Amino acid sequence: MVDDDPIIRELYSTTLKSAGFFVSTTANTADAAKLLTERHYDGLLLDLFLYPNRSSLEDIEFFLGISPKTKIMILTANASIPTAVEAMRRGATGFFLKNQDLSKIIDGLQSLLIDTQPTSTKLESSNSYGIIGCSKAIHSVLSAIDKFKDVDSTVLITGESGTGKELVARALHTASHRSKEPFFAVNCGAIPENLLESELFGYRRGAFTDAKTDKKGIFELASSGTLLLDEIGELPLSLQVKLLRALQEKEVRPLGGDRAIPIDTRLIAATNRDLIEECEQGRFREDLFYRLSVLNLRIPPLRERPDDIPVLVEHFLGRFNAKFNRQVLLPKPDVMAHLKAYPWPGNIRELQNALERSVVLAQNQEIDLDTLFESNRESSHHADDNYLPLFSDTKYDKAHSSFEKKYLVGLLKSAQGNVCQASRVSGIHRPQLYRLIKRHSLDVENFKYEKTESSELRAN
Amino acid sequence: MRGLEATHLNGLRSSLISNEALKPIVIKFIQSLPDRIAEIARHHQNGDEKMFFLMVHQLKGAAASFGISTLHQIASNLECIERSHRDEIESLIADARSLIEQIQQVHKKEIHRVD
Repeated sequence: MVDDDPIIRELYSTTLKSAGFFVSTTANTADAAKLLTERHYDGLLLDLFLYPNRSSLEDIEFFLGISPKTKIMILTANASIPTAVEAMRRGATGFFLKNQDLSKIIDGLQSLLIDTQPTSTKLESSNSYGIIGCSKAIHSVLSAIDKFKDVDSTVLITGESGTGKELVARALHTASHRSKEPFFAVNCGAIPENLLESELFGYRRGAFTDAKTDKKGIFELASSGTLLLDEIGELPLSLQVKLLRALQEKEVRPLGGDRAIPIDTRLIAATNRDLIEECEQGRFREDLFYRLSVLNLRIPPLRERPDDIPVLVEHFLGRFNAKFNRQVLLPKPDVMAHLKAYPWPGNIRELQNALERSVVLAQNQEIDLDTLFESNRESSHHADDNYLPLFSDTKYDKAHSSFEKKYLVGLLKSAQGNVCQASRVSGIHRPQLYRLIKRHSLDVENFKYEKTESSELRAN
Repeated sequence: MRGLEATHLNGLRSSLISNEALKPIVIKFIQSLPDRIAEIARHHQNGDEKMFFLMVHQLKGAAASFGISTLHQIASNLECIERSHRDEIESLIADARSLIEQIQQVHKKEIHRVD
């Protein structure tokens, strides 16, 4: 919502949030443009007069250029049919008057957003901090966020890699009374032990050779805000003790410091490990585990919520079409069936990457099943055991053809484009092999190039 | 008062004041009104037409959003009046000041509770 009057922003923010919307407000078009480039917004409610002698109608096309799928809706105190017509002509979706009953404006916004979505489930995604989904599993996550948002107890988020643990942590922060304060995320597995301690707790000048000045730790910086410790299972035992003390005492002692600093930081921890198992193995302190897991939030893997795949696909297609200036269409039902049946071991991150590749490589505005799945299967080693490329709505000849092409690609790769060698390995007569290569439009030169390139790399 | 022929109690009272969730914001807005009109008068006296127009337009939009029809009406009149008609503008600003006092009086009970 963009309006130059802070009281109007506060009024609409409060009202829209209580109606279930996720809301950001700004005072000017520059900040609004920045927000639109950072994430997708279903709608933009734009005040007609933000600047003297200038109408926001001039900005509609600019915003649509940044975010083509965002619906622009004009809000004004000036009732004028020509202005409303001009707004629609420039691409606005709605036109609201400030002297309308506020509840009617909210109803209008809701119906416009529903009307512009292909399914009602998409609306739910727009109300939930960027968490896309309509399944029961996602509803449980959203319900937990709602319950946990305003209590300061530590939350332990568990879930496989790529399920969106940081997104959920951010949602907990955004929904909380700490939302205006900073949110910090630290990956405990990505920082060396000695550095991690000083990053988390800070240090005083002279604490070690390179400590030329005092440095605040992230706990102190995040005080009054929220700190996410991701991959908490990777935290070394020595730091687990210090973290436990910080949580219990609500204060931190910087390295080399003789005075404890009080902190008011909400801690969220996340892990893809089984921390109970880690405790049993002696790699994680049991007392810290219980201190961290006051509230538990499990994010289900994508294979447990296949009903979310269509809305996720639509969401990512919209994003990548805008990013690459493409107009790739939604997958056909047989392709969607494959997407829903695949186990997605890399979860949403894997799906996102697969769709990004597919949009870049798409021909005739269509997602190619072979391209999409070949890439996924190559990048997901343990997926092969579970994934069977045969489904009730796939004809045998199509499945056979798909398998044949995959087989040939693998064969030619291993033979590095040498058809004679491929013939020997496979037992397929050379003329027949050439026919199959031609039928599947494969170019043996591509496989030879891989060999040459590898040789050059080795030579260098 | 010019433009206030239809003034009555309902026109002075915010239509959102009965909404408990929004009441603090309504009160904040009503308490800000004397400062808003003072700023409008200052821009008028300084001859800063751009800021005068912007502040009047903001007042008009906010009055409409908070459902105070009398204030919306007087701000609309201020917005439309020719800039050269300085006496009329000053007269309308005086009317607006008087109206704001009445609006604050009508919401006295709620403002008192918040304070």
